[in-house]
Amino acid sequence: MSWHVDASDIHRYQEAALDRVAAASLEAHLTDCGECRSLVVVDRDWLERSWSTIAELVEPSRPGVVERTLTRLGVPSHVARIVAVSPALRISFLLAVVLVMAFAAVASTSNPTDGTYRVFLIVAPLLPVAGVAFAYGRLVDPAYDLTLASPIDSFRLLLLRVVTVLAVSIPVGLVAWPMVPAPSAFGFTAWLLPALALTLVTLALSSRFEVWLAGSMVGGGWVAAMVIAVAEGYETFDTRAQIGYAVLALLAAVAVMVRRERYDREGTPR
Amino acid sequence: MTDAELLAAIVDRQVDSLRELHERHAPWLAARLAHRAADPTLVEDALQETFVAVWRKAGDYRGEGEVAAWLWGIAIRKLIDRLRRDRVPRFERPSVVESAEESVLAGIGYGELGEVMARLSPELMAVVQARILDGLSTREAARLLGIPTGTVKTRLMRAKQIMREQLA
Amino acid sequence: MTVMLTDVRKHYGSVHALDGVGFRLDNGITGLLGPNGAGKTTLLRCLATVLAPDAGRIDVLGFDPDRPDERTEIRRRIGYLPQEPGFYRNFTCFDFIDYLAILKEHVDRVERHAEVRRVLEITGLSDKSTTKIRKLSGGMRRRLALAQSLLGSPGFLILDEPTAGLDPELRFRFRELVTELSTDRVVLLSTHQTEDVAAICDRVIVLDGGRVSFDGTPAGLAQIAAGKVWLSDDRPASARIFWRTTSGQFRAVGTPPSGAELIEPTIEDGYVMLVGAAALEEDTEAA
Repeated sequence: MSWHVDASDIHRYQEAALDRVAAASLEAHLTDCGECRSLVVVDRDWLERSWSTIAELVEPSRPGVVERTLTRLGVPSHVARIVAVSPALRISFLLAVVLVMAFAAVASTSNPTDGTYRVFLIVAPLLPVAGVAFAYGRLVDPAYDLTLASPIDSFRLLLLRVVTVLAVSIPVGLVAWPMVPAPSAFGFTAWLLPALALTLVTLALSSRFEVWLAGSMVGGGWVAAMVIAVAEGYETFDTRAQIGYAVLALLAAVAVMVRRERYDREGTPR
Repeated sequence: MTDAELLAAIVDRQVDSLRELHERHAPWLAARLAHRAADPTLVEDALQETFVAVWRKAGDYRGEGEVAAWLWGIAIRKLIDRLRRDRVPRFERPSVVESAEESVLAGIGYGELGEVMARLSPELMAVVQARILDGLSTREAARLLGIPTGTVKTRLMRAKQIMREQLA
Repeated sequence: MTVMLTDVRKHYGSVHALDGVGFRLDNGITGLLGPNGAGKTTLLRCLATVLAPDAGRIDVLGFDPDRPDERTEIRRRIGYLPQEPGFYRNFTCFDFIDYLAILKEHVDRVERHAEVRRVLEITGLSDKSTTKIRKLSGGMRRRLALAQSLLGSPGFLILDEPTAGLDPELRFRFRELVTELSTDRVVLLSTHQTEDVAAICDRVIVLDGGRVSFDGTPAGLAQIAAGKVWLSDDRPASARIFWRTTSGQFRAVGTPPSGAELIEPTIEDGYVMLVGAAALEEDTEAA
């Protein structure tokens, strides 16, 4: 290139202070000369913003199926992301839920003698308990410490995950339940209240113990109580029992709310 | 890396190369687009669409001519698309302008050709710039300038006639 | 910007992880040295508001972590790199940082993505944005963990053993990075590499058995071993610790015999004098 443009000419061009011919000439030159192109004055902030927009269009982060579905249902994108990351939604957990429900339903139907529907009623409430044990905590969430240390309300995050667990396990149960031959006295809610109660008790206990331990205690305690009750001939799913489960659920919910600070930080507050 | 090498890397999906290309060319492309449309948002949109298009079609560049010229071809057409859609005012030149003679004396200009072009009226000059300097088709020039295609043709013929007369 | 601790205590059963820790941090890099089990991670977790101490007062940038609202304010202003950062292995780098940015309340998508790109670029991970974490090397994962701690340009950076497991070149680059980041913010860097302290720390605090046994400059720490480091041709009997140098002599730290050839102490020497040989054993393990 034998001649180049002056920086001052470029400035005048950028201020639209060159006449048409000079401008056209300069433009033609810039097309061919990288050196002079670099003399064009640019606002760095503007350049960064321009690039940010382009980068977003060119390489958007693609959300997964769950996230997209939730967003389409009207859930705000950041909430959708948090839910999508929930361990509960991992396919393995989903699969486990479906398998166990199916197994329980089949077990109930294979033996038509009276009372085996109880197998289902005993197993079904345990699934959300297992789900809660997988919903959060150091064992399951690799970024647990980072999550605790972030400004987002850990308690709300926890509730969101628990609700996700329930939202996944309960419909599966509702679908499996009709396959179970039960006396007409037992509607589909027979196992719902126990499920809710056990879940809330697990949640409450996890403010004091590690969540997997809380889940194990609740699970073990429930099965033991059921076995004893059946052996002794006590009715465990009638109206009176259901009222008992409702009360238990309420007490557990209160306990959770009262101790909510404990989910936000480890160690006992003073 | 040269511009052509950057394009090859972009074909290979290297976003960093697109960023480098943006770094080198966005400033002058934006300035040149701004000389054809008054609305800065329009210019920015056209610019962004240009680079997104480069990302998608970097393989279309066949090594003919400067990459900068190829980029301008994309950019001006994106701008025209937007102008057509949005129906906004064209670029209005502000009143503070050097005369053509002064620019020529300052060493800018095509020399003889520059002098000749300086004698054209603004309307004719605009057509020459669009059709010849920017390389647009008749229809594209018409969209850019907001005039009918017939007018583009006649003005271009007139301009060429005047220039031929001057140069003869 | 200041961070202050006063008489902080934490025990696990009969073990006193923190036994009356107090100090004050200002802008700049402070190194936290100490052997394993000294309570460094416990202390950092308390400062990061992840763990509640049993007693004592903590003030992070003017806020008290015992009050829930103020705790949230602290969390908005800190960047925390845990000793063992966990990752969602199937996430890409971009998605992981993006998720953490959501947790840090960056709700607007466009702004958040620009911030994600910014921290990835600072840590040199831009070209790994779309790589899955499980395919990254250990050093890169550490850089990723560092990147997330920079989200939102926090005023207080808490880094727990950030150079552990990094090879020397990466460690060097990391030090450069932290030094650049340390203007106008408080950086607390927990390490058992005395070279990190020597290279970039303005101040150093030594934690041993849950207590602060030194709080001052790196030079001051070295001076603790003044007159206690010597070269010897034979195995030194009165040394706390010694090792062979490249010249074949022994370099010893402890009580020098009379007439011994004394040499200038390094930070490591001072550290050994304070903490004992246990400190060095860990270093050789980690190396």
